[in-house]
Amino acid sequence: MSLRTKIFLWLLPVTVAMFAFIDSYYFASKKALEQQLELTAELALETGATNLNHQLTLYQQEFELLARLMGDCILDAPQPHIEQQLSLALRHTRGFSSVVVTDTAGLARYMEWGGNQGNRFVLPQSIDGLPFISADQFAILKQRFSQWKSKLDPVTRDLNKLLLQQSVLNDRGEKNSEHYHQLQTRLAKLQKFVATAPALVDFSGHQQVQWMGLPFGGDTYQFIRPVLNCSDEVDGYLVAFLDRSKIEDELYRVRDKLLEKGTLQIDVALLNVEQSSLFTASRYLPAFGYRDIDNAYGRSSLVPFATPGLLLGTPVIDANFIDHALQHESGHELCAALLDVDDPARYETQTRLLLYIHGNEFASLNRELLEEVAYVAAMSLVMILLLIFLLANYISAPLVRLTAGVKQLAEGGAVLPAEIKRNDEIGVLVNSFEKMAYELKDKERQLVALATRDPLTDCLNRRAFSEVADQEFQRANRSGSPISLLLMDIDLFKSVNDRYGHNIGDIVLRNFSLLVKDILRSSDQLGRFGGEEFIVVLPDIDLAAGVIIAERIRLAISKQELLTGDGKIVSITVSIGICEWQDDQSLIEVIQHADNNLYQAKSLGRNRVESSSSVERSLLPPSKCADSERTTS
Amino acid sequence: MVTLIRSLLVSLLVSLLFVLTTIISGCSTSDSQAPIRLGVVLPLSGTFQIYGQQGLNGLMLAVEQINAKGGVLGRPLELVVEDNNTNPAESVRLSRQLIQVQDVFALFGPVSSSARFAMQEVADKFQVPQFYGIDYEGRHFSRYLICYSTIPEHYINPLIPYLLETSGPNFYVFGYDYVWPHNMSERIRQESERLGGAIKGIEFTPFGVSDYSATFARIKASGADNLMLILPGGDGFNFLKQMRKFDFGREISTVAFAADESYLDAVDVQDLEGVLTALHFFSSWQSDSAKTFVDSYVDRFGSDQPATYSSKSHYDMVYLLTAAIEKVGVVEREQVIDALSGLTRYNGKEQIKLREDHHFDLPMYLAQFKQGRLDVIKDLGRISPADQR
Repeated sequence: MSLRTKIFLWLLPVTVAMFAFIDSYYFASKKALEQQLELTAELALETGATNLNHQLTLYQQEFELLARLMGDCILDAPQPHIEQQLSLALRHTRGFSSVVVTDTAGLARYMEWGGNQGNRFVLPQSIDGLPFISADQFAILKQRFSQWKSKLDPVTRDLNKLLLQQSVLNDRGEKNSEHYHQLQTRLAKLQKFVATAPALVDFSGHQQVQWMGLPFGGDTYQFIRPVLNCSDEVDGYLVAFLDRSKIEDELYRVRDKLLEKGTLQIDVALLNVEQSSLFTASRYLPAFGYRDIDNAYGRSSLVPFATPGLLLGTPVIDANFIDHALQHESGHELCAALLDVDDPARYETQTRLLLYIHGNEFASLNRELLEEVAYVAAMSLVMILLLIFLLANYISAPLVRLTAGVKQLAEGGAVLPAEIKRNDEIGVLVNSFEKMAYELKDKERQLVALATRDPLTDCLNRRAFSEVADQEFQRANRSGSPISLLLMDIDLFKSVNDRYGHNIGDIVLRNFSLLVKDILRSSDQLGRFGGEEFIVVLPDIDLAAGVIIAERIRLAISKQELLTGDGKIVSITVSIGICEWQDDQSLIEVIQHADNNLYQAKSLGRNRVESSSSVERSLLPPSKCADSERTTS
Repeated sequence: MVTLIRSLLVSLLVSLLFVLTTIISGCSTSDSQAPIRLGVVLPLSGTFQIYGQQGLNGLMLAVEQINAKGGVLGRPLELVVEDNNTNPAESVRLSRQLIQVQDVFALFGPVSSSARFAMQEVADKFQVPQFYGIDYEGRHFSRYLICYSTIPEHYINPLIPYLLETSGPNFYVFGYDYVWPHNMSERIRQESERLGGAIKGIEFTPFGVSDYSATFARIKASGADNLMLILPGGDGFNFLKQMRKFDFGREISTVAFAADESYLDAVDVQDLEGVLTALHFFSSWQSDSAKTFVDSYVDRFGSDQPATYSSKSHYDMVYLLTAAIEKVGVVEREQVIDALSGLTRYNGKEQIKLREDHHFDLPMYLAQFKQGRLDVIKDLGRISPADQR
């Protein structure tokens, strides 16, 4: 495994840390987003519930006002008067769609429309004689009325007593005492009791709503109060129908708050706990089946179906609450109880305002977050992988090159230039290695020169010549071209040494080799074979051409005059034996052959070239080149 | 080496786990694919049920065609249909519910002016665009109301000169007792008197009258040459049936307003013979675009339910709405409403144009019932009423 891969693998776990971080960021953000949505929902729900409670309390007060404005002792009046009275009373209210006056049997006699917008489009229908009060409602109304009636006399007596007391206090100008205030409060209470027969509120009447053709459907809050004649007997009933669309608008306001925030798949509805069913329309929530409702201000435990999502519920005033408030004047206390989470009275109401957020909304939040996280994760991953790759490369690339350089050097190749400009440790290492490699190569060259060259004449030494001659011979053999060999010996060199000293002898030898090199081609190889003996291999040269070259050398040497340092002139001659190297001959054999020819030249008087074909020579003893061709200058 | 491979494996495993969990938790339906809901409040029962049913067919055809081509901005259209039983108060209740609970983006319907006024108040309050596709008296402008309607200027103005020329100068107007016939009759009076005609009688009737013989006697006595009948729906069928049996002693040209192809099914051939009607579309009109529409309508609903101008207008309005949504690129009501003005469909003489005043320039045709067919007898041209604001 390469260094680069190792570095890469070592650093790869960094991505794990990155993913772990992104993962925890994702889950934290997800939780935060969900909580934010839940909080928004809770706030919208509680605001909605508070508004709804206030509205219903307000309508309860409106009904009290309506009943008082209608007054008693009126049903004997002619119809237009009754209708006018109804209309006048209705004008002081906002919450009622219509008011119906029935006879004592609960059958409709008169009806008046509220001023609500939707009412203008109702196609008027006759409801004359249709029943507007149910048997159950009658039972309660009658029971309450008889109770009220039985208390009426004693209460009236108490009232008269109090009035008397009040006039006494008035007479003596005592209007600001504690006693007077208490008296006033009690008076007001008793007066109200006497003035209004007990009412009834319940949530029903969908049939009557349909008969009247009201611009909404289903049950609504019905406010019913007996209308008395002048002798305090029931003369008929006043039935007021709360405009249900006011309640629906309130639900829509809750919904709209969430819609504005982009939470689209929601339901806001009212639930009747007793019947475990919704009594307002819904899009996602089922109409029935809310069985597991506990009194806790709860969430998912309320969900009556499998669809995931968040369901919140909070108690709101129901018809019983309003009814109770009408009987006992404690509407505000009840309203306050609803707002107090710890007050158990809050759960006595059988109505819950529900807010449901579809699971898709959470999924949608999650998806947006995921897209963001996935983008960040992908970018980080690419970044980290890229950085790891670059780092691995940065560390390993020069080392890889260095390794290649060492390998090449070890195999005797050239020095591989580092081509790296870095100031760090790796840069220093690579540059030092390069410098060292060049020095090594230089030393190697010197050593090779020392081992192959004759130090005096710079000709090849005998061993090096043998190698070179062998290579040339093999090449000539491969290509089928001729190759010749010269063996040269400086005539009477010993006497030069003796006469002029070894220094001059050395100069003579050096001059001799320079002169021969001048004549030879670059492809020819000159070697020093012994003291004054030199040898030349001539590639691509046959015997005849070789003789010409040898003659040229011999002539040049004989013409050469060497001026020594002390003014003496030294001149020398050379004897040369030449032969063509036959392809069945070894180097030793061909040198022997040339040596024979040299010997011949020496013995024939020196300063001459002797040649003989190797074929001829091979037929003769080496010492007797009898038919060797003789050439003289 | 072993530690290297182990760390590599661990990191890969963790990454894989991360990717898997994210993919699994991310698999849910996108709300960018959620349908665009269109609320429909039409009379599918009651006096105007034929107009409601035809309008609904047009809506369904357009929605199915658009959905088959991939919807609008990649979202399908979905109709949420409610029957208002030709009752304006029901229209209020239903449109409130469509907006408040059913999350509809726009409302289509209803039929008749009283229901339109009722519904419009709701649409205005909640700022939801409402698309109305039936004749009415004109001059009802709201930012949230689009009226693909033949208003009096569309057909009374070209009709009066035609009747003066072909039939006679005396007019009798008979219609329902509500705002549309009231305004129509006033328009007829103005236009005929302006051109030298005379009004011999104007009479209104409640819904559901069973015997019109008294009316026939009054028409006969008035000496009218032309009867302008503003009594669409069931009562109109009944009226025409009785009228044929009554002896007027002379030829009377009858123009039945809002009489369309559905009369062919509802009224006997001989009772309809010669009755005139002017509308912006007749299914027998032989133009390329009319034929394309009628063919796809017959494909979808069969040939026993002829396409009418109500189907056509409701069909076109869905296309105009989608064009506006596509123009702005978002499903946002205010922007879409802004983009609606100036949109057109079809070319040349048949072009319809949705104007700044949310009414239409429409091509108008005069047609006549003859031997069980309703054929165009005169192309009235493209009519551009005055600004309705």
